[in-house]
Amino acid sequence: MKYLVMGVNGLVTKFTYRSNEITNLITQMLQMTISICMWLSIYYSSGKYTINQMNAHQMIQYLVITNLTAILFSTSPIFRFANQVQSGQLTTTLLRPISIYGEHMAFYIGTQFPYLCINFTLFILLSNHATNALTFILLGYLILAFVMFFSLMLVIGTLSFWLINMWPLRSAINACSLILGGLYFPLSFLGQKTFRWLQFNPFSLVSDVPARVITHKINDLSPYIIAVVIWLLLTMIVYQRLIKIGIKKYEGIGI
Amino acid sequence: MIKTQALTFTYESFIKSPGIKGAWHDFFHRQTNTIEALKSNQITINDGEMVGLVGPNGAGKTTFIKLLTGILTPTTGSVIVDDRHPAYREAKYLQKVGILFGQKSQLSWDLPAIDTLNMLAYIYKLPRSRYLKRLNTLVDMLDANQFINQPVRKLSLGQRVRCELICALIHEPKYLFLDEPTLGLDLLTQQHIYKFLRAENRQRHTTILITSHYLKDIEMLSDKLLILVDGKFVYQGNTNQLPVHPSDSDTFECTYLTENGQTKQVQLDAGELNEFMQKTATHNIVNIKRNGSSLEDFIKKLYLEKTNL
Repeated sequence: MKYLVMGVNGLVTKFTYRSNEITNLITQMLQMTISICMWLSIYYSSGKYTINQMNAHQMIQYLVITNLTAILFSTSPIFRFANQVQSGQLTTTLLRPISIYGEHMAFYIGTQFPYLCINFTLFILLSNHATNALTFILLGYLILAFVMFFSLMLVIGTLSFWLINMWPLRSAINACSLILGGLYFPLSFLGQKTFRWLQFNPFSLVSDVPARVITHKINDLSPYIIAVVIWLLLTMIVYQRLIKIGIKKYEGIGI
Repeated sequence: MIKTQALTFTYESFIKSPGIKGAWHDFFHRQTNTIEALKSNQITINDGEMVGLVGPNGAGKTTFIKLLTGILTPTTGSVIVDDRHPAYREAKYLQKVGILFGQKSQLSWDLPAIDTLNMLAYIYKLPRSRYLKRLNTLVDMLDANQFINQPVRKLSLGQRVRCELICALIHEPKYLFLDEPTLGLDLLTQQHIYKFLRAENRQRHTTILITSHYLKDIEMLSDKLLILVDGKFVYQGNTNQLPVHPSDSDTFECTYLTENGQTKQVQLDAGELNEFMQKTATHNIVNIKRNGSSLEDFIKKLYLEKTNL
């Protein structure tokens, strides 16, 4: 129950900064529009109906989904955690009988709740699969991927115990999200050999994979579910280790 | 009971050489030094006591509070509070502790204080009726009715500190640690908080440890005094058994009118003030201002007194 209240507080806080959210959405939509326009011009100028076995309609669907999931799978936990360590605000969490992971998770779900609803609704509407089973498996997969991605972001966030400034990492993480997540182009365009390995990276698992399921490029999610579970376990283990060492280093002094 | 034995806390810091040359040198050969924030300290605080912890800036007061709350782990020695090691951060221990850091807020910045309090009620598993009763009592005692529903970022410092106090006390903690609670507050709010803390200690037998570098805070609040200088407790005992009294070195700045109507000012100590009052007609006294001694002066005096004994 306590984590539910923290989640609700996160949601309320999100609504406090309306203009920030609107700007964020507009920026993401603009980015998506540019990618779509760029690919449409490539299709028209090449005169081909399909590029890499993808037609223009599938490409638009793919880009819409990857860009929508990019809003849902936000990198904000890294910077919230780093900010708490640098300002000494982590002390507040440490003084309460709550888990740091649980508090951050609850806040993340709370702040992302509107996008969770939008994404899930759109996935149900867009996935016109013959059986409903795959749609439900996809929703289950997304929930698992959501937890995995959050854990990964928190692991990166714990580096703030050692790094004074985390902002240089922001560009690197954004670049990973754009390229490895397939926000500009499908990962399969990088060639089969590269794609075989890159398709299991965490950024691809949260955006490229759902987009390929919707565009009927994947019918069996099991290898991806296994990949998500492995990443989840790995990030949880690393997080436990890092937080244990990091807390000892934490002095609770802030700016 | 709070008990520390041979408590030491050290941490590493960097030495920064000045200028570009120094920065270039530090880039490849960073020099570190070990700072001993607390040096082998042994203290005991009994349950229900109101204890004042004073010391100059950088003496180690906040570090000591952080060790008591489990934010920091002792380098050597031990801290035991209520038969538990705070560093283990056990839920049962954290339920019994209330903390206020004057310079750090535990309130959600964008939400009204009431939202944080409602969340705390779930965190500390307070039954609804008990929570509401306690909330009403605290809000009334601290006169917070008017601003408890306002976003924290819109509150004044005094209003925010009162909300912080409610947060620290909502779960009726057995131990209350207050780190510089009156920092930057006006006199009226300070008096309000002193009165409230006294009542809390009396009614609930709460053990209160208050750190400050204002002697006045401690005089007003504590029965027991701990003086921390450079990481070492130099005095622990009753406030009224100090070898020198904090007010002893107070001076008085008196402004008065002379017989020919001119305004004059003199600096007097407590003994001279009595003489001055007897000699000067009351209608000629314009103003008397009391100047308290600084903490550094008081500690110096205390040291001298202890060496003479």
